[in-house]
Amino acid sequence: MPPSTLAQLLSALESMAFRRTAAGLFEALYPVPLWCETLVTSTVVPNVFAVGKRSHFLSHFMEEAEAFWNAGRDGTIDSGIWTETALSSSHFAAKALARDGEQFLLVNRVDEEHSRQFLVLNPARHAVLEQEALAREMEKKEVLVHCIVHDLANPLAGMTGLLDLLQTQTLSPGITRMVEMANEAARRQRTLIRQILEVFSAEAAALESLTLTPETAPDLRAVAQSAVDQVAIACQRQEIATRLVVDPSLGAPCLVAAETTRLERIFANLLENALRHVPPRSEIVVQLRREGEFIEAAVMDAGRGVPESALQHLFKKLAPAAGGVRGKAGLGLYFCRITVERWGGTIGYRPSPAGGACFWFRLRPYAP
Amino acid sequence: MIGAFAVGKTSLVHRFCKGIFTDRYLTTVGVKIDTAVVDAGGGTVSLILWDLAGEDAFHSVQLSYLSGAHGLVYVVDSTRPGTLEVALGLRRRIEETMGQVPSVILFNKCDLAAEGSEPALAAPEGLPAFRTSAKTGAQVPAAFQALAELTLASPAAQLQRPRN
Repeated sequence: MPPSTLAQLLSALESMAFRRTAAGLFEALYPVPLWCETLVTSTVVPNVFAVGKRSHFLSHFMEEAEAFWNAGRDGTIDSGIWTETALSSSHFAAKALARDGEQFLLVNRVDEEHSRQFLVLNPARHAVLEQEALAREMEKKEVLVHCIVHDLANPLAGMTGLLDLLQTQTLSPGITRMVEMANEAARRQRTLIRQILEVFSAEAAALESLTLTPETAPDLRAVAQSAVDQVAIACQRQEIATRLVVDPSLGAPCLVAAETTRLERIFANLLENALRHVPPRSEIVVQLRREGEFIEAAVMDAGRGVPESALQHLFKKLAPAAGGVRGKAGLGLYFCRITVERWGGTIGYRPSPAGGACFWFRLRPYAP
Repeated sequence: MIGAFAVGKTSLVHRFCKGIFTDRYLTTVGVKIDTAVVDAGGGTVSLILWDLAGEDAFHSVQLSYLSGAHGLVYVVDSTRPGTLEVALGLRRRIEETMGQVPSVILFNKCDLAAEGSEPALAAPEGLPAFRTSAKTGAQVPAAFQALAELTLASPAAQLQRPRN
């Protein structure tokens, strides 16, 4: 390629090349374009320019470049993009090169590269700022709700204590029944308060990423067994059997991408839900099986199932309870959904083969 | 000018050099250089302000830009406590490689912190601190003037002063 063609090509690419002749002095390899004239200074020698007198940035870069050239090794160092408002509205980048004993300085006008980087970084940083602001708002809201809910819970503790005391007294059957009903109402209120606190804590956690180690990743099989055991006593009172069915192909332990405490709470919510709707003398089954790349946990009962009209709102915040069960805030299934989704899983409902409800959630196996 | 991204480094320079402010966040790519003059040490001092792109997951501040710096302005967003940690982390890295350099720390966006009743972030020991607002201009000239005074009083500046 003739030198003039190469010069035209480099010029079209808005790249100005100089050969270093002495410390701070450079011979232009082709005519210096207008945009570059603001950065270099003419000398008494035609076609030789001093670099680093007009531009503060180039002056700084020249110190680094001189050290590099004096080291005598082939290679390149890059200045990064800079803008010097007193000289030009353009953006520049420089390279110091050394090849076979010769040293070169390339000065490039990089307005397009600057725009490209800006178009990537600016929206990305805006998104981070918005997420930070949202997290701060959630934190404030969470603190406020915690305070309110704790204030609501304190008198409740006093009430249940007094009701327990009352139950130790000799009461007429009618009064005993009323005390039992009051205790049941207090228990429901305690559940509501717990669910509200859990939802706010889960909403705040949803903005953070999940970090797991083999030690902290829960064993789905163990958590499911523990949840079934815990609900068994309440089930026995209603003559309801509980059973855990595990697909033999699942490993032991069966580690999943989740957090133990919240996973326990999801099982407890789904089992409590099943217990509310299952008829006496029937069965609740928890099944674990592989479902594609996920592991599915399903809680099945032999109740009436969820009516078609309630399905679309089932996992939404403050969803109306299917069947209009009193004392339900519509937060239990919402908590399950936002928590499972935060772990990269999914949750849903299908009719159970036994004719009742089947609530399932799928989690990713834990991968270190 | 160094600190986390979106703390207002460029806005502070704009306010100080040009007396203007815009609410729109435009991220800095690379380095932006401006100049300003302040009264300090009984005369006028020219400041060459290097506004470095903010530190975050996408970009790490190139400390080589700081070699030869006579003074540093650490900038923190008063409404984002995490940005103080970023500034202090940068300060540790800089002192490890450059030693002590005259510095000030600006808790910027103090107008927003007041609106949101944010608790005031504590200034680290040994760093003159200013609660600034690029929006209102509060404390901005004072901060740059203080940096100029500190810079003139430093041993490095004493060596570079022209002899009469």
